[in-house]
Amino acid sequence: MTTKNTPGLPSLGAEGISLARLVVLGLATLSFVTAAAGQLRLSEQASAAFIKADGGYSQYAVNRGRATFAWRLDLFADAAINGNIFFLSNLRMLQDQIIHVDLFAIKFADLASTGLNLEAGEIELPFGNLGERRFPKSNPFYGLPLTHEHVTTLRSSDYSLWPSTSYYAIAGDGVRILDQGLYDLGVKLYGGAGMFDFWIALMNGMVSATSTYSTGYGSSGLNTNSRLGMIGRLAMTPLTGVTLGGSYATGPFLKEGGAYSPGGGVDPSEIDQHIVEADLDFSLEHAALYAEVFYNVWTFKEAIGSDLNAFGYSVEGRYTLLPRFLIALRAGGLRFNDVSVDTYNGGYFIQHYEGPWDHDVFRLEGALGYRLDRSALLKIVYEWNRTFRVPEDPADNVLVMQAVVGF
Amino acid sequence: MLIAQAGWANLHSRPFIFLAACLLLLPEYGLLAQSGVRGRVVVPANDEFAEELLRERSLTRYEMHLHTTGDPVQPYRLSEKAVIYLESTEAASAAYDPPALHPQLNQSQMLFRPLVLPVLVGTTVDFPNNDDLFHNVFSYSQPKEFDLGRYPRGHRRSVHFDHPGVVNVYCDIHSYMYATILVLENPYFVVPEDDGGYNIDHVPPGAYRITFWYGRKKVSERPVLIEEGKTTVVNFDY
Repeated sequence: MTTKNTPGLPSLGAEGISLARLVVLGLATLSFVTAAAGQLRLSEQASAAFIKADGGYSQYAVNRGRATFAWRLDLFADAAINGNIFFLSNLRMLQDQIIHVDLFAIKFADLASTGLNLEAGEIELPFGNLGERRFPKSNPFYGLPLTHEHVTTLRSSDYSLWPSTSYYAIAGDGVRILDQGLYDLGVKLYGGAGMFDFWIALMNGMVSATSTYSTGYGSSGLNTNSRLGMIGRLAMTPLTGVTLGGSYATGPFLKEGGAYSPGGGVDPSEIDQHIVEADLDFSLEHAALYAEVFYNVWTFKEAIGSDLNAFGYSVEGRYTLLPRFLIALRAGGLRFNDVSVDTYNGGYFIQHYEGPWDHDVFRLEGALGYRLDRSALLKIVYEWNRTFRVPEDPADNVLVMQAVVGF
Repeated sequence: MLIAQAGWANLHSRPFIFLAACLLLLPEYGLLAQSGVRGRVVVPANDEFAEELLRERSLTRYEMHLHTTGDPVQPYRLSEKAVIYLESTEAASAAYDPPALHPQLNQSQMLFRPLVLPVLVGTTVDFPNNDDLFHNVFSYSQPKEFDLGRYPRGHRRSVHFDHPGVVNVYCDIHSYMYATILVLENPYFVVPEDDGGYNIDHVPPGAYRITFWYGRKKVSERPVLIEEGKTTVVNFDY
C-alpha cells in the first residue's frame, strides 16, 4: 500500500482526461458494434474501502494516518474478433477519478496453428506469478506483494538517490522494484509445450520503470531511451496444482533527458536493471500457496561507485475454512545493499553517503474474507509493517476493510 | 409390473397370447394407459450455451493450454440442457426414495456437463474432475452451500442434496463455468430426447404445475391436471 496515486501504472492525468474519455467512448462504441455479434465481454470489479493507518512518517501510512475512504473500479472489455484474434483491455479508476489504461492489447492466438500466441500494445508483463491476484476480487489483501508496492529511494527520471534524506527515503519517492500491476507498451510471444509454458517480451521500459511511469518528467508512453527492455519467463507444471516458474528481465530503466547526469560520464542508457525471480504456486483442496523470491541489480557501479541491489521475497497462503469464509496470510520482505556514493541529498549539491541505499522492510499481512455472494467479497486486512536500519521504526501499520463486487 | 406378475415363462410359451396382451397394455390403446404427461419441446437449433462458454473460455487470461485441450468441445445435447418437471400444487406429497446410483455433474474440457441436472431431494451427486487441471466447484445457493476445493483428474467429491430448490454451481477458478442442479420434491421429471420428445408417466392423478427449464432459467410454467389413466399432452416452444 502506498500513499501515492499508483504512479507505477499508466495514467491519464488532467491533461489526458479528454483522451481517457476518447478511450471510454471507443470502448463503448466497440461494445455496441461487437455486442450485437455477441463478441464482446464487458465486466467490472468495483471496490470500496475504509483505511486507517498509524500516523507515522512512512510511505505505508496511507493518507498520513488520517482515516479515509477509498474506491477503485476495474473495467475489463475483451472482444473476440474471431476464434484467433482478440482485443483485451483493462481500465482502472481510483477515487482521484483519473482513468488509468492498464492493458490495451491485441492478441493473436494459435499463430499458424503452432500454439503460439502474440500480444501487442500495452501488455501485461510476463514477470512473476502475480496473475489474477492483481485484481481486488482475487486478492484477499488490499495491496500487492511488497515487491510491487515499496517505493525505493531511486528515481528513474533524474537519476538521484535520496538515502540520506529521510523525507524521500522513508516516504518513498522513486521507482518500485516491480512496477505495481506490471503493464507496459510492447509485444510478447508465449505458448506451451507439455508441462512447460514460456513467455518472451520486449517493451519500452523496464519492470521497475515502465514507459508509462508518470513521476518526474511525466509519461508519454513512448520509449525514453535507446534500447528496449526484455523479459523471459519459463514455468513448468509437473503436477496439477504445482507450478514452478522463473523470470528474468533486463534493460535500461533510466529516462534519457533527465535533469541530472547519472555521474561518471555514463550514458543513462548504459545503466540497466537486471532482475531474476523464481516462484511457486501450489494448491490442493482448500489451500493455496504462492511464493516468490527475487534478486535485483541496478548497474550504477560505473556511475556512482556502487551497484544498487535488492533482495526480496513474498509468501502467501490462503485457506477456505468454510464455504464463503476465507483466511489468508502473507509475509514479504526487502533487503538493500550498502553503498558508498556521491549523491544528491535533497538539494542541489552532492554529498558523500555510505550505508544502505534504502531501508530494509518486512510486512506481515493477515486477512479474513467473507463472500456475500459469488461476486461480492468482504475483507478485513491488517498490515504489520516494520522498517529496519533506521533510527526509529515508524508507526505505519494499516487496517483496511474493503467490499468488492464483480459484475 | 403387470407383465412381471403375469409371468414371463407362461407368456413365452404362448406367443400369440403374449403379443395380444402387449398390444392391449400399450397406453395408446387406452386400456391400461398410464397417468402422465407427454409432449415436445422446441428450442433454437444452435447451442448458444456452449458457444457462449467457449467464447468466454477463449477470453480467459490466466490459464495456459487453452488451445490444446484435446478433442473439440461437443455442443450440449438437448438432454444436457433441458428438463421438464412436475410439482404438485396440492397438499404435501409423498416421500420418495432417492436413487442408489449417484448422478454425476462432470467437469470436462473446462465445462460442466450436463448444464442442468435434475435430481430428487435426498440424492447424492458426484462431481468428477475429468480435466488435467484443477477446478474448484462451489455453490452459495440457499438449498445447499458447498465448496469442494481443488482435486485432480480422476478424483471426485460428492454432495448430498437434502433440500429442494435451484442450486447454481460454479467454478472458483474458471468464472465462466456454470451449471444448475434442480433438486426436486418428486421423481416426476425427465430430460427430453434429442428430438424434443418427452414422456413422464406413472404420475398420480392430481393438480400439478409443469415447468420447462432450459439452460439457466425456467422458460415456461403452466398448470396441468393429471387424470387417472390419461396422458395429457403439453408442448413447449422456447
